[in-house]
Amino acid sequence: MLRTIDEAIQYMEEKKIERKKKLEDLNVYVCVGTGCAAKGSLKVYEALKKIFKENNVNVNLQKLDDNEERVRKTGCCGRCSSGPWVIVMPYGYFYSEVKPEDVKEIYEETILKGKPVERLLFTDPATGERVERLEDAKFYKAQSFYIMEDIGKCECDSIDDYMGRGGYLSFIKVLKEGNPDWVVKTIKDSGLRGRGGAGFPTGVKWEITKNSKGDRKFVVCNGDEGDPGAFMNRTLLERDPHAVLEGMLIAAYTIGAQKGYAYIRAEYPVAVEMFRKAIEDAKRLGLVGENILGTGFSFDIEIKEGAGAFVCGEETALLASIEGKRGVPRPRPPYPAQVGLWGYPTLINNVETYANVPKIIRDGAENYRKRGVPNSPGTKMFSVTGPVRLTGIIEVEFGTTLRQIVYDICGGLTDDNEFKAVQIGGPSGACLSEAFLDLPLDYDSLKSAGAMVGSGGIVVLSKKACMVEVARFFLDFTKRESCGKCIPCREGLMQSYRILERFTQGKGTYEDLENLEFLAGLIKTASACGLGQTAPNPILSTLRLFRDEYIAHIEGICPSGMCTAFKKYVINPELCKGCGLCARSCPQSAISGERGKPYVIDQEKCAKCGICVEKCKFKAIEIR
Amino acid sequence: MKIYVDGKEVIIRDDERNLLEALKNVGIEIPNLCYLSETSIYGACRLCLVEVDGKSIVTSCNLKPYEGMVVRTNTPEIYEIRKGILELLLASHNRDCTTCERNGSCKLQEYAEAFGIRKIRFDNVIKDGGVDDKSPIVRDNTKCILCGDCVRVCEEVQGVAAIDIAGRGFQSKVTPAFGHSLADVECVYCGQCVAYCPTGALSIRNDIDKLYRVLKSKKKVVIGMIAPAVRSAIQEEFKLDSDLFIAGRLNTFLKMLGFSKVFEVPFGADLVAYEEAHEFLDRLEKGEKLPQFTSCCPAWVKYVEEFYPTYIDNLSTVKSPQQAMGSVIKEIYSKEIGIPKEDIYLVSIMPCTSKKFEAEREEHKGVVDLVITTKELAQMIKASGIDISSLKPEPFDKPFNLYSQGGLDFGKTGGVLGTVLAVINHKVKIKNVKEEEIEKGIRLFNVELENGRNVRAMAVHSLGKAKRVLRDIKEGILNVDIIEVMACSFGCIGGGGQPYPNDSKVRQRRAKILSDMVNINPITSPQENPYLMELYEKYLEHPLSHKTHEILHTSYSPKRRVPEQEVEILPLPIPEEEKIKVRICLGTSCYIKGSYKILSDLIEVVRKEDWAKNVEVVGTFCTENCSNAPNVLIDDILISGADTNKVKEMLREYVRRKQEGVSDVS
Repeated sequence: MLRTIDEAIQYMEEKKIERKKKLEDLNVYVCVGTGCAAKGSLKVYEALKKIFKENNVNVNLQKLDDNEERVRKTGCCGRCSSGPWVIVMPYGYFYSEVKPEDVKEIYEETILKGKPVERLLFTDPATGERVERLEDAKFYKAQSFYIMEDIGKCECDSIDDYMGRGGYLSFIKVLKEGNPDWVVKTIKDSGLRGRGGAGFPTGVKWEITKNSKGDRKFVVCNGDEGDPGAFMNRTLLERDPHAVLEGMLIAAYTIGAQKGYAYIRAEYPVAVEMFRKAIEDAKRLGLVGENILGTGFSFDIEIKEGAGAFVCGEETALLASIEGKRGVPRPRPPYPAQVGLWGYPTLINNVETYANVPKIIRDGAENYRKRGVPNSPGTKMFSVTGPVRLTGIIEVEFGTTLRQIVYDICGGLTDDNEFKAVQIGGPSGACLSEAFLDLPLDYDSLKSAGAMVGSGGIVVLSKKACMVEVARFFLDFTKRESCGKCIPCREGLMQSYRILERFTQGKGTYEDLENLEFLAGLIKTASACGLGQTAPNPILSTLRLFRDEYIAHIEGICPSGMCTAFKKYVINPELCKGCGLCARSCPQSAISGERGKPYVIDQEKCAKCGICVEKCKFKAIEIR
Repeated sequence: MKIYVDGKEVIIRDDERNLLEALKNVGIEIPNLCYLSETSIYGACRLCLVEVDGKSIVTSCNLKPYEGMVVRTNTPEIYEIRKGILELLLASHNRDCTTCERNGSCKLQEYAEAFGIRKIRFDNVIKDGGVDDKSPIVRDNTKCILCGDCVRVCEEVQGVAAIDIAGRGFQSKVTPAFGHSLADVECVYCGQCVAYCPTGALSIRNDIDKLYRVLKSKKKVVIGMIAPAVRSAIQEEFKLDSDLFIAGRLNTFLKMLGFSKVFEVPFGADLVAYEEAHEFLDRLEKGEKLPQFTSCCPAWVKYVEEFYPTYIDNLSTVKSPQQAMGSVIKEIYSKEIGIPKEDIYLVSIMPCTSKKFEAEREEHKGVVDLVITTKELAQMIKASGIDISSLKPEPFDKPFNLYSQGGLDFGKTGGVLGTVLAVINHKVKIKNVKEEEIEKGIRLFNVELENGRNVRAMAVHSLGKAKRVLRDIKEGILNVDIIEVMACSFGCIGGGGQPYPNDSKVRQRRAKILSDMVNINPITSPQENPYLMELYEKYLEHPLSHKTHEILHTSYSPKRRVPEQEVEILPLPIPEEEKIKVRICLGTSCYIKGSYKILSDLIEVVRKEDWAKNVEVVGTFCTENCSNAPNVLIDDILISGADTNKVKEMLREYVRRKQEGVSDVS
C-alpha cells in the first residue's frame, strides 16, 4: 500500500530497474489476447511454464528460485490471424502459430542454446522471408506504436510491469500539480479527439463536465465496442488495462468525480478479467480507493458488463444500461456532461481516448501533437480485415493513407484478389473506392469523403465483392440492432433492408432505387441518435461510388458474380457424358435426363447450391 | 423573448419548456406523435423537426428557445421528411381505419389526411403481437406506433409501470411483463394509457352491443345512472358550449332509448360521503386505521391492493358511489317498486375504464350489470341521429334525483373530501380551513374543528402523486388523517373513458363546467338531501349501522400475484405414491426475509435424507400473509415466521405421522 506520492515515485523507480533487468534477462512472453487464446495460447503458456519448472535450470543463469517466473503473459501484438505468438527475450525472437508440441524445441534450441527455431519464425509477406524479430517486419516498421508502445514486451496482467514502464507517473504528476484546470488545458492543447467515432474534442468535454454543478459526478469508460470486425478496444483492455485505468483516474481527479464505471461488453471475458485484475491491483497499491496517496482524493470504480446490445455503445443508452434500465438513447441536449448517470454530470469517453491521456500528460501537449495532423493529432488503432495478406490490429498516425495501410502494413491483397474498395468505420461506415486510396485518414478528411473514423474498423473488399450485397449485409446488422425507439431508424432501416434484399435477389426496380435513396437521406437527417444517423452510410456511399452496380442489378446482372440469385447453372451438352451423377446428388431434384445423353437443369427448381458443379467430373456444368 | 419563426417576429415566454410548447402557445402546433406536456420528453417520432438558424434540422421537443433564434418550421425538406415518416409508420400500421375504435379521433389518421398521403411507397409489413382484450383495456399491437406515450404515462404520471417496451428494432413492442395479458398484471385499469394513445392501439372494451341486446330482449327493466364527470365532457363530442342542462338531456335520450328509470350517481356520492364521514370520525375517535383513504376510485383501490397491501386497512370500507348506489337500487329500491332484483338491469354511465373492472370484481358481482363510458354514450347518441342539444331536459327519476353540491363535485379532485368535510361540519362544526398546495396534484387542508381538534386532510390526484404521498407516510415524514385519491389527474373528469382529446388543458375546462353546475345547486351538504335522510330513516337506520355494513360496506384483499401459481424447481420423478408437497413462498416479503434459503436448505434435505425422499419441494408465489413472512406450506398447513429448522422439524413430524397412517395429521 502506497501512502504518499513520494512512496509511489520510489516504488515506480524500483519497478523500472526490475523491468530493465527483466528485458535483458531470459524471459518468454506469450500472447494471451483473445485471438491467440482462442487458438490455444494458454496451453502453450502452461507447457512453457511446465518445461521451465521440470528442468529448473537456465543455461546462462543460476538455478531458478521456486517462485521465480520466466514465462509471462503479454497482450495482443496485432497479428491475431497468425497466433499464438511467443516472444523470447532478450533475443526478441518472434514465433508465430506456436503449438504446445513446439514448446520442447523452443526450450532446447532457443532457451538453452539461444538459437532461433527457424520454422516458427514469422514470414514477412512483404519480402516472403522469415524475420527474427518483430521490429524487422515491414508491417511493424510501417506502423507508429504509441498507444501500443512496448508491443510484445509488456505484461498485461502486472501492475508492477506497467509501473516499470513509467505507468501511473502521469496520474501522480496530476495529483502533485493539484490543478485540474492545467489538466483540462493540456488535454485541450493536445487536440485529442474522442476515439469512439464522432471525434468530439476531449478537452472541451472535460471542461464542460468539470464546470457542471453536481453533488456527485461520474466518470464512465465506454468499452461497448459493438462493431462487427472491430476489436481495438478489446485489444487495448487486454494488453494494457492500466493505461485505461490511469486515464480514468486522471479524468476523475480533473472533473471531480468520486465514482467510475467501465462498461465493457460481456462478450469480452478476457478484457473484463484483465480490467478487473487491474482495478484490484491498483486498489492493493492504493492508487484506487479512499484518500489516494494521502492527497484526500478518493475514487472507486466498478465494471458493468454489457448485455449484448449494439446501441448501448451510444452514450445515453449506455448510461441507461448502467442505471439498470433498457438500453435506449434519450434525446440530447441535455448532454451527459450536464445530466448523466442518475442525473449527475458524467464524463463518458472511449477506451482508446482514456489510454491517450497518460501519454499526453507524460509527453506534454506539444510533443503529443507531433504525431498525426493538425486537426487530428495522435495515433489511431484500426482493425483490418478482408482479403489482405495480414489482418489484425494496427496503429498508425492520423494522416496515414489507406494505400499505406492496405499495401505497406497489410501486405496488399492476397494472390487471387484485386482491390475494389474499403469499408471503413464499422457497420455504419462508408465504402470508399480506389480513388480514395490516397486519402489521409483523419476525422475531417474522412467526413468530407462521406465516411467516418468510427471506432476504426477497416474491411478491405476485393473485386469479388458485390457492393449492393455489402450494403445489404451491413443494413441487416444495423436494422437488427436498432433500439426501435425512433421511427426513421426502426421503420426506415427495415424498409431499406427489404429494398436491398430485393436488389440482391434480382427483383430491384428503378422505383426501388429512388425510394432507397430517399429513405437513406431521411434516416440520416431525422434519426435520434448516432446509430440511425450513420446507419445509411453504407447505402449512401455505395450509391455514390458504385451506382452502376445497383443499375446492373436492376438490369439483371450482378457484376461481381456474388449474388446467387443472378447465377444460372447450365449443363453444356457438348461436355456432358450423361453419367447422371449430378442428377443423383442434386438436393432439389432439379436435374433430369437419360443415361448417356446430356442432362438438363430445371431452372425453376434449381436452388443454386453448386453441388452439381463439384460432383461433375467433366466440368460440364457452367455458371452463367 | 423574441424569436423569428418562418420569417416572422414572435414573442414567447422566457420560461417555456421547449420550442414545441412555445410555438404551440403562439398558434403553431408543430406536428408530433410522441410529445406530452405531462411526461418526460421522449423524442422518438421525429415529426417535430425544425430548421434552426438556417443550418441544423433538430427536434423542437427538446430544444430550449433562446433570444433571437431563427426557426423555420415548415421547409420543403422538413415537409418531405415528415411525410416520409408518416408513410413509414403507415406502411407497418394496421390500416383497418373504418372498424377502428379511434376512427375519427386518431392522430395518425389526422396527419395522413393533412399530408395527403394516398400512396405508400414502402412495403406493407404486418406487426405481430395481436390483440389483448381480456381486461376493460384493449391493446392492439398492430395499431401501435411505439410513441411510448402509454408507457410514460403509466410509469411517470401513474407510478404503475404495468407496461413497457420490449424487444429491439422492428420487433420492439409495448407489452406487460413476460407478455402477459393486462388482465393478469398490476394494471389498475385507470385508462390513462387509453386517454393519451394517439392511435387505436389502446382502447376501451366497447359494451354498447351488450346494452342493445338487453334493450331488444325487453325481458329486464333497464335502469341507468349517470356519474357527475360524464355531463361535463359529453358536450365536447357535440361541440356544445357549456350546457348546464346536458344531464337532463341525456336522461331524455336514455328514456327514448328504452331506459325505465335514470338516476343521478351524485345521490350515491352523498350517500358515500355521509357514511364515510361517520366512519372517519369513528376512526379518529378510536385513533385507528389512520390516515383514512377514500375508496371511491376503483383504480386507486386496486393500486393499494397491488402496491401497498399493508395499507389496505386504511381504505374506507364504504363502497364507491357506483357500487353503493347499485346496492341500494338492487336491495332496497327493487323491493320498493316490487320488481325482483334479478329482473333489473342496472347500467352505470361513467367517465371511467376502471369502473368496468370494479363492476366485475368478485365481491361486487350482480350489482351493476353494465358500465358504459362517456365515449360509448356519445357513440350511441351519434348512431341515433338525435341532436342532443335539441332535446328537452327531463328531471331524473325520484328518489335518486337530489344531491348536494358536493355530490356533484365528486367528479373532480377534492370533491369527495369536500363532501366528507361538509358532513363533518354539520356534525362537529369546522372553525377554519387552511388550504395549501404542497405541489401540483397534492393539496393539504388544515381543518380546525370547533371542539379544538385539528384534522389534516389531503386531496391527491394522479396515482404518481399518491405514490409520493404513500412513500412519505411510510417513511413517517407525512402525517395526515384523511386522504382523498383520484387516480386520474384532475379527478374523474380526466377518466380514461372520456372523449378525445383528454389532456390537461381539456380537463381544466371540464372542471370549470362542473364547478358552474355545482354552484347552481341549492343543497350544500348531504344532510340537507331529504331523500338521503329518508333512506337512512326507513332502511339504513343510521351511519355505520348493521344494515349499512351489509349494504354499503365491502372488503379488500392483496392482489399482487404472478399468474402461474407454482414454479417447478426440482426435476421430479414419476410419482410412485402421493407426495408430500412443501410449498415455499417466494413473494417479495418472504424472499427478503430469507425464504430462498429455506428453499435451498430443504432441497438439500430432500436430496440427502432418506426420510424426506417422498417430499416434493416447490416454490410458490405470494401466500398473502406478508406480515408473518417467511411462509411455508406443508400440504395445507401454513407455517409462518418459518426458518429451516422449524420447517424441517415439522416436516419430519408430518412425514412420520403420515407414514403411521394417522389420519388427522394437522
